[in-house]
Amino acid sequence: MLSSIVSFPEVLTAAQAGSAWALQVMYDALSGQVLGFCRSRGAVEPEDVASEVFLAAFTSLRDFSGDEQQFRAWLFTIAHRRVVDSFRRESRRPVTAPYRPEIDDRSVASGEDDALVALSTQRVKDRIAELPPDQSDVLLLRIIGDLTIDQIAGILGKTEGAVKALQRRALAALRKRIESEGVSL
Amino acid sequence: MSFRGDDIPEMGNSLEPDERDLTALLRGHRPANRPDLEPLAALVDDLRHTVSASARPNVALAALLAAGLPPAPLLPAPARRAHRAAAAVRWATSLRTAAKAGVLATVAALGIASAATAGALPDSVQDKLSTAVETVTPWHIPRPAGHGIGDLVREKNRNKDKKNKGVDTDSGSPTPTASPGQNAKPAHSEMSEHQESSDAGRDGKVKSSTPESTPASEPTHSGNPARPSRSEHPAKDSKKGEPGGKGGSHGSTRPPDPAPAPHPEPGPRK
Repeated sequence: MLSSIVSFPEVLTAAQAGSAWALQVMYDALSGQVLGFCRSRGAVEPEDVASEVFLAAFTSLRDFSGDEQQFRAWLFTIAHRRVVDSFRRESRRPVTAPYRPEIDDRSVASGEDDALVALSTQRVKDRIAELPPDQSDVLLLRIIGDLTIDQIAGILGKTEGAVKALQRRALAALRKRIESEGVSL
Repeated sequence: MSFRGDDIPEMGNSLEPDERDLTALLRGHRPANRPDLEPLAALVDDLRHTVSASARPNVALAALLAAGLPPAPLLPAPARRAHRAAAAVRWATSLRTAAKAGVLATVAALGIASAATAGALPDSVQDKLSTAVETVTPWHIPRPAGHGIGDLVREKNRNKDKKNKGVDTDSGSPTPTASPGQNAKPAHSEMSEHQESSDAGRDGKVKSSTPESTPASEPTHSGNPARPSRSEHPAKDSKKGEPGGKGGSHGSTRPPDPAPAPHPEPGPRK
């Protein structure tokens, strides 16, 4: 639910009319999820990618029609494409060491909490990065995007059966790795 | 358990979680009586917690969030017209043949009605259409200056006389043209004068009263059985009373000249 005060159709109508407050409500409600998806999926600059996602979505918002769940699926469709695009861009750049926030000794404005979150995020990200891309896509869209199987199938261009199979394989692989390491996150 | 070609790794010694357990796990619920799934549930929770506060927007997005969306761009007028025309063409081409014929007939009828309302049709067509419309509908379409069946006959004869255009059939001299003053007469007076001359032309009395139409000046007038009588050409009389018609140069006090005698040469008659 985007807002407990205003219904989604009202927010959408106002946003399509250009109201700044409605765009802000949408951004506040969904930017964390989009950013989490981009970050966990391994985008090099996840906040930039997340901003590109919302810029693209807001720019073409007048063409959208549907309910909140469809809007969420639409937004994550854009997010998935932007992440893939960012990988393509990165593949054309010179190879560099990936950024690891837990070893970044520069001071961060957000302090210790952010460092802990970054550490936890990095661990989760490492786990997810061990999965094949289509499996990590399914898991992240399912858990972070809170999307249904058929919505994920639409985003990834696969059948529902294929998405279910990918989901099972991803969870089984994670479970096996956790058990083999004997370390709980 | 795994199938051939399936890369699902074995779940160790624990039971394979079913679909319901996986769904609950992915939704953040810890399946009951499945402590073996606890590490996986913790991982899912951590993954879910990576979604924290809202992201920091970049400069462009921050500006958009502050100002809102710009107004929807309007297409320029020519583009809108072209868009409407293209849409009309697409709609027309998508119709069936019968529907196309119907649309075409409707467009043609509207065009004729518009022309009739503006009085832009030829007199005969205007007269017929006015009669038809006023009979069928309560609307009024303006009639031409001279209307009625007599005008239709005159129009018909006028077309027939195009062959003899420019020749005064009685005298053999070029047909005189109307003076500008006579052309400026109102349509109604033209009409009455026109009707008088037309009626007179039918009974042939006016013709005989004018000097130009004396039998002496028309040596071939009488005695030619093939020659049509004057009463069969009322249109020639009426034509002189019309704006721009012939016979206006014979004096202002004189009534319009009767129609010149038909051409002496015999012609096919109906």
